[in-house]
Amino acid sequence: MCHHHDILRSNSEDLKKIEKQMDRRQFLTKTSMGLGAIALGSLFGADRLLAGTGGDNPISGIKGIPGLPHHLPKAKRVVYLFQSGGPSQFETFDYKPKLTDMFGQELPESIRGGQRLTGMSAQQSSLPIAPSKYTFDQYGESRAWVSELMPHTAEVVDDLCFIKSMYTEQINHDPAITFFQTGHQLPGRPSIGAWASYGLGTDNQDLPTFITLVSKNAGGQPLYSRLWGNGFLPTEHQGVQFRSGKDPVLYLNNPENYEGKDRQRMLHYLKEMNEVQHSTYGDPEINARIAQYEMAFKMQTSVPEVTDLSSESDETFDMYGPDSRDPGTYAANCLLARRLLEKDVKFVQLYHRGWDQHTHLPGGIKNQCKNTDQATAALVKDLKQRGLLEDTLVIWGGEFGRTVYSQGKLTQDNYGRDHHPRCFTMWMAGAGVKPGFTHGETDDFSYNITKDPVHVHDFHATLLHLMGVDHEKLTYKAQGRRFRLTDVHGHVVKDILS
Amino acid sequence: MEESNLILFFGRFHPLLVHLPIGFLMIAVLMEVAERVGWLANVRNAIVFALLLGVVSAVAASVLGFMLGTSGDYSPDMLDAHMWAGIVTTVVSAVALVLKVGWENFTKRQTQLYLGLLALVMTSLSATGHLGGNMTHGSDYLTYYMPFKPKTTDPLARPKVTDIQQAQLFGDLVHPIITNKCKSCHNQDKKKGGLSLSSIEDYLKGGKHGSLIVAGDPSSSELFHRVTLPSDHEEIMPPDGKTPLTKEEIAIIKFWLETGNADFDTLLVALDPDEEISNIALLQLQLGAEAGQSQLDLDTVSLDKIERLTALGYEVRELAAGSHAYEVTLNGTKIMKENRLHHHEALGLLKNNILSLKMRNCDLKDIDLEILSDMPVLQHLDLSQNTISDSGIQSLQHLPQLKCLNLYATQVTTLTIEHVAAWPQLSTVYIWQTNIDKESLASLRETHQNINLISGS
Repeated sequence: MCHHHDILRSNSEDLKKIEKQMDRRQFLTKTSMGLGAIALGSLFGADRLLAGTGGDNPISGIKGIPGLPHHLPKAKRVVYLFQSGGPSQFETFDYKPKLTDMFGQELPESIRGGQRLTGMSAQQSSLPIAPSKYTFDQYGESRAWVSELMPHTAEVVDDLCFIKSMYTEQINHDPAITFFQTGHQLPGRPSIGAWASYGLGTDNQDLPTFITLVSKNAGGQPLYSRLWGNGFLPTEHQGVQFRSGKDPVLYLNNPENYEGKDRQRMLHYLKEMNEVQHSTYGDPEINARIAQYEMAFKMQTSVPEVTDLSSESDETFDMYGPDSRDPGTYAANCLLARRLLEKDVKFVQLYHRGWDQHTHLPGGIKNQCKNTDQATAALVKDLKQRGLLEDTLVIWGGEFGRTVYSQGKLTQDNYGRDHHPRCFTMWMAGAGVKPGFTHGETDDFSYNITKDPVHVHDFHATLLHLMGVDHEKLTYKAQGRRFRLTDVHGHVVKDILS
Repeated sequence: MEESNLILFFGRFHPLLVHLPIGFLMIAVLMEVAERVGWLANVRNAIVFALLLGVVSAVAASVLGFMLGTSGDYSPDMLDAHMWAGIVTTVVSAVALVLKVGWENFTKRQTQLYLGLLALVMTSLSATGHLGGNMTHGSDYLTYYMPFKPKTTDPLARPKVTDIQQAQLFGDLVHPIITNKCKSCHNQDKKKGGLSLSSIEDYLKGGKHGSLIVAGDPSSSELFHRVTLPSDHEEIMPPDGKTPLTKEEIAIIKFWLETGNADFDTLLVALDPDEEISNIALLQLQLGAEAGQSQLDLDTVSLDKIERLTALGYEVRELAAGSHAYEVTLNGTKIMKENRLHHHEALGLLKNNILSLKMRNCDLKDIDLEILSDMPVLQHLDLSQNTISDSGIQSLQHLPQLKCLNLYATQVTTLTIEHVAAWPQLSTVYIWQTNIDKESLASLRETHQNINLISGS
């Protein structure tokens, strides 16, 4: 490839001289990679590398790192149905019958324990207890309590593993959702899906390892791409967002008036040039760029194929609900998620906004449930009947819970609830978690946890454990220290493992 | 706080200072060689200077070394050898210095004598350094990670336990911790605090600070007391800079002293350990759930076998690093008629290592299933969305380890279920969109209650 060098490098002696002078940063980048490779070789043993581990797949695509998975994984794929805004536990899964008789009474100070409230309700002269307007019933063999707003989820409770005792330190949306998605409340860390992609690599060479879908039929607190970003991990690990409409992935189509017949040749040549750049400068981001051009080319065929729902039967659409025929809705995204999981995409992350009911909660949450309940349950059923729930983990939950007291005026028909980080409910289903099981308990006011608290770090540790990863061992060195998804915290919640 | 001891205070500067003569003498000899070979010129003065520094620092190091030697923490034999080697180094290098300064122009004989002395300096310097290192780090420190080294001669070492029922509390759990964390300073050659931990007698004898082990009473046992002191305490063991014991290791030692009465032969299970201790023991012995993958005991697979499969479009993943257990997936890629045999052959190469085989929607036919008959470790088999009928499944004689079988969207009937029900490990079968109707499904569920038959809902 000498002629490429000639193109890229100047023939001027002076410029050549400058090119040869490595500055400190380049020296460190280059040598650390070389030394790193040597160290890796000795760390993991030559025999293991030769044996071709999951991290050493000879085919191109995101590879994962040697030495992983640390143990046999239960979950090969994850679909995370993120309910953004903080769904109220009172109107969904955390049944609190004693509140009915306490309608409008002041929240006892012994329960609140002097907890700091948000600026939105701290000024209220009274904190009146607001029982759920909606009724609850028990379902399935597991006799799990579910509100009348979730009739479809109620049908699958025997496949779900509820965690009633989730808690977080964050009380506002941005830090709380950033914490949930990246393990830290400040921006800049890699998201869960990016860690999974980095550690475990892809199972499908034609689609991204980590795909994000955002519902169009919901407004509310903003979402931002850093929630599915790669942080300091190499760029190819960031989540790729699929959109509704004729362009599911932006910038993927050929430019106008270009037929694309010689695209592969063009990309091949571009790759050669990028490789020259890489050998000159040693910047790992150049490799990320090469990988992404290749992936984009494959996605030109794989994405239209996987997003085309026309082969789905009417029964399937009926199961996910009428919205599922309208691309970009939560229901359509659930169906699309199943298709992606069927293609062995490792991490699919859905976001549905609008759970932030500070006021008019009864109406708001009813609408939220209507838009999500059927499709959520359908996804669990559909994965199960296809045998995919066996090794797919489904996660449902938001960034925090809501208060037992009403924010604003409390009436029989209307009330609001403020943010509540001290306890809230999530559920998981499928690979490696106990079906029809409930972990943790809250007090009669769902204000404090009374049994088996599960922190966000613990949730992350458990999630990685299910994927075969020891959360203490998956690290990445950036800015002078090694980082983990769980930072220096996190315990696997052994109780919920099947 | 122990009373101050000036001799030992200065003595402890010996390990610090001792590196100076090593460096000075080494560079003097190297310069001498370089000048003679012709790489350097006009370095005579530099050589003299380096030799001089070497001799002076060697004298200083020897004096400090002698002071440190009075502590009694070191094995006398080794200490003697180290001392004499050090003295030889100092004296010989001093003689070499005198020769170098005194003889401006060497005769041939003088040159030979001088070079001979330098060679002797190098030899004795290496010997001194090595013996000193052995005393500081333990005599097996240098070769501990050496490949192909002969088996250890630790009289207390025991073969690896494969069953928790056979595990000796002391021999298999306590002593390995001690070996790992304590023995570099407490052994036959280096008895810090007068304590060696190389034999049962050593344990019983203890060191100079009271009883090492007191049966039934951890708090009076120096072994427990010293490792549980606060981390900034003067007397914590292992001392500052060495890796402390983990809380699991401490729990095991406590359990041995307290419940095990510090007995050297008791089996762990005889003491009826609680769940916590059992789990620590399982983990330490690499038995049990976390180490489950190693129990699969599969052979290694060469890369070319994997490449055969990937060339045909398969995804091949090792389920856990080092487990040699693989998941092999062909998803939505049609098997072409002309290369069916290639597929059979390539899968056959990996048959002893495939734990999970997924061939969804890839135009699999009944004739392709024969190859699966001989997959002894297969646990998870996905044949969904293929034109497969009862005769294909019935050609599968016996899959002894199979737990989960996915037959969704195939043409199988109840006959298939009757056939596979005989496989001992099978617990889940997916049968949505097959030729099994609702009534037969109900009766199948009745007759095969140990198998979870999953259909559409």
